Amino acid sequence: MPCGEFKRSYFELMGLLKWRTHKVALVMSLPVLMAFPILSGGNVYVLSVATLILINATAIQGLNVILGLTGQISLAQGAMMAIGAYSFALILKFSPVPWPVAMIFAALVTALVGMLFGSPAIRIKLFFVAISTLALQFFVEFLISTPKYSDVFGGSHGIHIRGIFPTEHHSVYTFYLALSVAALATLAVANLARSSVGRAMKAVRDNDVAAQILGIDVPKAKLAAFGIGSFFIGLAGVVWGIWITQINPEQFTLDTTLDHYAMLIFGGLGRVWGPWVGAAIIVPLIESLKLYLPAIYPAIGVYLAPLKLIILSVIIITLLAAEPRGALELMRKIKEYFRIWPYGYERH
Amino acid sequence: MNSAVFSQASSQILLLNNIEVVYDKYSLAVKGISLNVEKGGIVGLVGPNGAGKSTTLKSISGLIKIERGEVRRGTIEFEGRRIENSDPEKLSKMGIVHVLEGRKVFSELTVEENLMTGLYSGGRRLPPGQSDFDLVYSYFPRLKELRRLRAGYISGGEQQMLVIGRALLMRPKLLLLDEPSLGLAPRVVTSIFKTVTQLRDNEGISIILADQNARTVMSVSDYVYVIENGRVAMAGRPHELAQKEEMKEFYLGLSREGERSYAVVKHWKIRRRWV
Amino acid sequence: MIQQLLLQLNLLSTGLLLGLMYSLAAMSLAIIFKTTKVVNFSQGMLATLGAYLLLLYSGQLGLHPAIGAPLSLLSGVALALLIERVILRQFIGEPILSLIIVTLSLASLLRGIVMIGWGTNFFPVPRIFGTVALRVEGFAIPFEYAVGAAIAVSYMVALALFYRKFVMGAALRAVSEDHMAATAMGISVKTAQAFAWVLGIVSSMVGGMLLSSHIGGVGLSLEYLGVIALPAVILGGLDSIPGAVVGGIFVGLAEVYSTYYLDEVFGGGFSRVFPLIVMLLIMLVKPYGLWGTERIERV
Ligand SMILES: Nc1ncnc2c1ncn2[C@@H]1O[C@H](COP(=O)(O)OP(=O)(O)OP(=O)(O)O)[C@@H](O)[C@H]1O
Ligand SMILES: [Mg+2]
Repeated sequence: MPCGEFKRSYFELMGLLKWRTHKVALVMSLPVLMAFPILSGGNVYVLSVATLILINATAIQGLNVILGLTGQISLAQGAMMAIGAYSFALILKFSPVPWPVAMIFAALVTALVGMLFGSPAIRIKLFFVAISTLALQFFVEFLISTPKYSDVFGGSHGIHIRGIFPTEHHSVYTFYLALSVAALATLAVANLARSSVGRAMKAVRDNDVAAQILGIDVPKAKLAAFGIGSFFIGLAGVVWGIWITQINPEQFTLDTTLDHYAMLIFGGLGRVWGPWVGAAIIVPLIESLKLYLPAIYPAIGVYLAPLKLIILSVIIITLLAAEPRGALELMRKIKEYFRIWPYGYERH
Repeated sequence: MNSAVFSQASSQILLLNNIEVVYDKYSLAVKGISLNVEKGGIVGLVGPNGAGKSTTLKSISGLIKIERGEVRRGTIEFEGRRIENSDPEKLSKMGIVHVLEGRKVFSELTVEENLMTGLYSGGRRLPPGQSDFDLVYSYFPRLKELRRLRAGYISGGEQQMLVIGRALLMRPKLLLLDEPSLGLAPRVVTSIFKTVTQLRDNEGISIILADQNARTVMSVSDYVYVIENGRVAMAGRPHELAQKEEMKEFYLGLSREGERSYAVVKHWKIRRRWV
Repeated sequence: MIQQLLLQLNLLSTGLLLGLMYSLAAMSLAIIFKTTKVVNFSQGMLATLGAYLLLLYSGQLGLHPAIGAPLSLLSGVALALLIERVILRQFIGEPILSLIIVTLSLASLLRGIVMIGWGTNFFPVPRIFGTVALRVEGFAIPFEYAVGAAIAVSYMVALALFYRKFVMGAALRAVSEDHMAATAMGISVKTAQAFAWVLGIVSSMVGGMLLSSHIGGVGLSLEYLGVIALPAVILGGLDSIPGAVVGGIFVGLAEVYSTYYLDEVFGGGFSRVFPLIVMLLIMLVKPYGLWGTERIERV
């Protein structure tokens, strides 16, 4: 009798939910997620943290396509969410289209900009695209904050997104919106990862020169990664905008990039569930720090922001040094170590 | 077996005892090579492509580490000390200097700057003067004329002189030369090999010379190992080896009955001498 | 007419001097890239940290600048060694991707530390040279600018000499070309990379100190030096010291001229993104910059 789970056919190996743990986790968590607004007992704060997790998970899923699947780098997480949120707000402001259409359009705009600024990735050097996406971050910050264009972007005050959901149910409705968008993004990325495009992306990540020699269209794979990834980041921006209702430049800085990197690396690069794990652990961690630290030590208020920076960057650096495949992998390794302890075998 | 040739152990600078080398933990490139180098002697390694000559040299100089290789079995002794799997920087300080195959000049650096890198392992950090390079220029006067040129732009023969020259500045006791004749005109090869014997005679440097150019190697070496498929297939003094049929056939390009077709050659079985 | 001429002269000299400050930051990027092939995205924050160190010693502890400056430089070296040993050393030989993320996170880590230590306020720094200016007929260069420029230029000359004449400089360049061959010469790749990191970090800090005394204060906004140095170094070709200087001067001029002529048209702050636009264009047409070395990528 086999002691473990084995795949007997290619079909099984390519299954959407490959492992029993995944199926169990999904079956267990779906009802909880669906009924969360009821379970939270009408606590708006708890619900908003959950929404925040979902929005982050969506944006990180987009980053996961770019960074985790394709091994490219994008430092414009804040800018791309801003593009999504601002173009959504502007479409609603200047045209009578229904908001779901505006949402798709805003995400498409983000995808286009993402592809444009991701195009230096076609050159083999990795830092080119790092630099161009960093430049994108500063362009967007400049555009949305400079008083010159405040007629359009509202300057430092930002834009108000007119009520899409009835005010009394706002947090419940946005929760479900965020949940469905995050689920959609995850489903899409899970399917992408098993498609030929996804495999091309992974080949590019592992060795782009070799992938090219194997006949993979490397530029196409890289551009597709930026397009698809930015699409989801843009969607996340839209949901953020709907949720917060007043968007302004302060919400979309380079710090967003740091948040997302920390969460993705924590959850595990290239794993479909990585963004969920990362967001579900790090967002509450930061939020509870914000909530409880001042209660314990009132003077800590001004230190919260730097503390967050330090915690996130330490998470990133230690994880990258110890286990680039994420905290789950690290835990698995530790578990494995104790399982066979004291008999170590040659690990590779 | 080979050590019978050398009567006294103390006269040997290097002793390889049945070493096995693996790359990436699994790929076995050298499958048991023993050889020794007498102080002030030139030892030749000949063999076909992929035989393991370069790998043997890299395991002596420690450079296999850089390519994720290791000596998995057997021992290497240098001046009586065990050195297998030591750090290459340490070994070069001890006097083992490796001239890589393929004339790896630093092409962005000028000839003189290339020579400067040879002073690094001696602990020199300050700007060198002209006299520091006199030793090199005395063997390769041509380099002095070229000293301001970028090393990427000088000819293949000159590049070979340069890599030997900068190795010389590291004050080697044992010099490992990998394919110094590769892609060079016969006249240049002759001059470089002549310099190699001069280095032995004047500077007292012991030398291992790995090259496919068997005839020239045999003309300058004191002792020659034929390496095939990661093992020593034959060994002996050049004049003894030159008598062997298989040596003549495969490496010296001589045969009793003149030209043969490849089909016939293929069936010729070498009588190997396993270590 | 005379007015016009004076204006042009002022713009030109301001741009040049500012550019020389930027070139220090660009040189720091080039030093690190030359040997390690990594673009240091924490450069701006390191420069800012340097400025805060100067603030600490000569502003807050009240030491004379002649003592404060060397002290802050020494602390900078110590800090650079610490950062290299504790963080960067773990990543030698790791994929470039990891290193880019690590340098970015390092920037955030340092920003967090600076924010805890100094808050987010802008601190004026003591004017080392008072308000002395070199004055010629309605045309003035503050003495500080001149000193900053002189330091930048002499630093460039020293670096160029170091890379050409010193054995260590030759060794660093050798490592950047070929790890295997450099190791065969007894050069430790690890040591060389550590050296490059420390040298680069210290250069950033010097750049930050000079820029802070140039703009008359220290604040987190100095971190912009890390962004502005990117176009400079891309223009110069990433691994060339003279290229970094020319690139820095170009960016300085571009910023000053666009502040004067373009900010009105495109909105305040445009001069800060203008060099980035130029950089993107250069990346499209001349990816190895004007002086950079083009190399063949191998599997
Ligand atoms: N870095 C490496 N990683 C894995 N295998 C290697 C590596 N270098 C060499 N090999 C393998 O080791 C074997 C011996 O190679 P080596 O370079 O030592 O041969 P050689 O005798 O020097 O040949 P040549 O005359 O062509 O230089 C070959 O099969 C080669 O494929
Ligand atoms: Mg070889």
